[in-house]
Amino acid sequence: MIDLRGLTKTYGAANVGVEALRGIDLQVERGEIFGIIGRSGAGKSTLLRCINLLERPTAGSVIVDGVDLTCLSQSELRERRRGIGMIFQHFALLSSRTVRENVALPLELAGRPRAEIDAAVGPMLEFVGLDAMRDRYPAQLSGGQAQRVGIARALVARPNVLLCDEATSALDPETTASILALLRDVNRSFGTTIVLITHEMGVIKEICDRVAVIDSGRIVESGRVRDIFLAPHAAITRTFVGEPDAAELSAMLGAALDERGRSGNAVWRLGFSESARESVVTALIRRFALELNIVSGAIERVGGEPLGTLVVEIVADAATQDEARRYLDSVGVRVDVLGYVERTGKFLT
Amino acid sequence: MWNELASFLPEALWETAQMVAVSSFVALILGVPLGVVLVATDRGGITPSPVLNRVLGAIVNAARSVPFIILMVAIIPFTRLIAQTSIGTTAAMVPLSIAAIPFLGRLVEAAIREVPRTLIEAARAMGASPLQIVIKVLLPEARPGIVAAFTITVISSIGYSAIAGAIGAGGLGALGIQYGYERFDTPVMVATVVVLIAVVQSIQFAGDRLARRLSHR
Repeated sequence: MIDLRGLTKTYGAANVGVEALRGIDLQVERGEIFGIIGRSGAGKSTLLRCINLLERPTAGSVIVDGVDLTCLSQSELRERRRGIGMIFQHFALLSSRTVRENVALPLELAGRPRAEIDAAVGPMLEFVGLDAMRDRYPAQLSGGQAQRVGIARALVARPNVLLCDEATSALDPETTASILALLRDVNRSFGTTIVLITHEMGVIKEICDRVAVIDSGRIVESGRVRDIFLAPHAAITRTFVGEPDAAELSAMLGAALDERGRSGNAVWRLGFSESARESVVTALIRRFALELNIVSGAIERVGGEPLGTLVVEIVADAATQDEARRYLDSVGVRVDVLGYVERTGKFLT
Repeated sequence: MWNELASFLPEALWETAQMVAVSSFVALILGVPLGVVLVATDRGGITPSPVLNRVLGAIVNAARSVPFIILMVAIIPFTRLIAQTSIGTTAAMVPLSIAAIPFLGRLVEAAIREVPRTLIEAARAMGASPLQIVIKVLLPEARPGIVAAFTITVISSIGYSAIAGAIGAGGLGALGIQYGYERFDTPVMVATVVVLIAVVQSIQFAGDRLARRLSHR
């Protein structure tokens, strides 16, 4: 559906400019909800704006629905943009237009006849649950209502793709949940492919099928959301999923964690789904000659599925560790070695 | 004296109204598009054109830096061409319009710049052309600001029309200068000033009300 190839974006002169994007390759499948997460300034906003060419990439191609947008004329591009809806962090509603008139705008711009516009706007307002607000002005709406209007406006021309620019970042948690539920509903009811950018992992785990982590203009990690949650690799991804970093782990362990170390007690992260949860710790202790110290753990719902991560300190010889890892692998528990700690005793208690 | 006043004042008021109405109308027709073009052609505008922007900006600045009394004299040939005469109320409409166009243009430019950039971005994302962005987004969103700008232009035209009175145009300004200032006729001067204050107050009041009614922010 969306195919970004070799995308770079440099602001200013080539030799002194700021590189916002440095070679992005990204494919979004038809009908999926794809999340892009990154800190502010990581380039996610620029990346999203390249998909409808609000930002023109310095190099690379933007293929949406089989058409390379970078090769189109201005008027062809405008025509294509009508098939790509967009919603914004601060809603971007026209203050001079009522709710109904705001939702009608994309169709007016496309030159559709009055009757057709009226016929399309009503059902759209009903879909987002704002039919009663049709004659209000945006200033009279709450943030959640305003974003619903934004969604209705973005969808009224029935686009195949919906781009969400930090759509819930200005909203409180409860409203965020209702807007995310609405976006999932959009995705299911209309089959709209959704690309969203956010700096909140909560948004990703709530509705996204796949995620890409962007940092300093590069995609450092991407894949299915549950896989990223169970086994985040890049340091930035680990902070996004809320895993303690090396310094925090060291504090919890009471001894320095050596991420590149080879000797001492191993520190593992175990990632497992609900089905494997019960057996993991018990089985490890019963089956193998090892001792186990739980350092931290969490259960999170990702796309409705509870996923657990557990950071444990393992006291065992190398051969036992290998056996234990093979066993865990066989029961579907992901194991990542976070590092080693040197101890004088077995554990500090 | 009161008879004198009663006959002069309405006539002077009518002449001022004509001069201000015509010049304000011309300013509206040409100054609003000027303001739009100044915003649109700016760097980062919807149709950037740095050369046109700089040339227009320079012309506007030049026109605005010439004192009105000098402007009136300087463009007499042009005034004669348009109005067929260079003195009187009709002739004064020409320099009044020439002064009001760049004045309103700059104010409209400022009002349009107040429209949040994300609205322009949203319109572009919807496939709007530059002209559609102007007509469907910028002008409607800036409307309260444009009304306020127009109010200021009308009021400043009233002030300029009084200066025009000094070189033979009629109106309240001429009345105040000829009777009040040159003939030391204090009641006429006071009456003229009172009428001017009342007129300016009413225009500002009406403008504020309209701007507030149009604003839904």
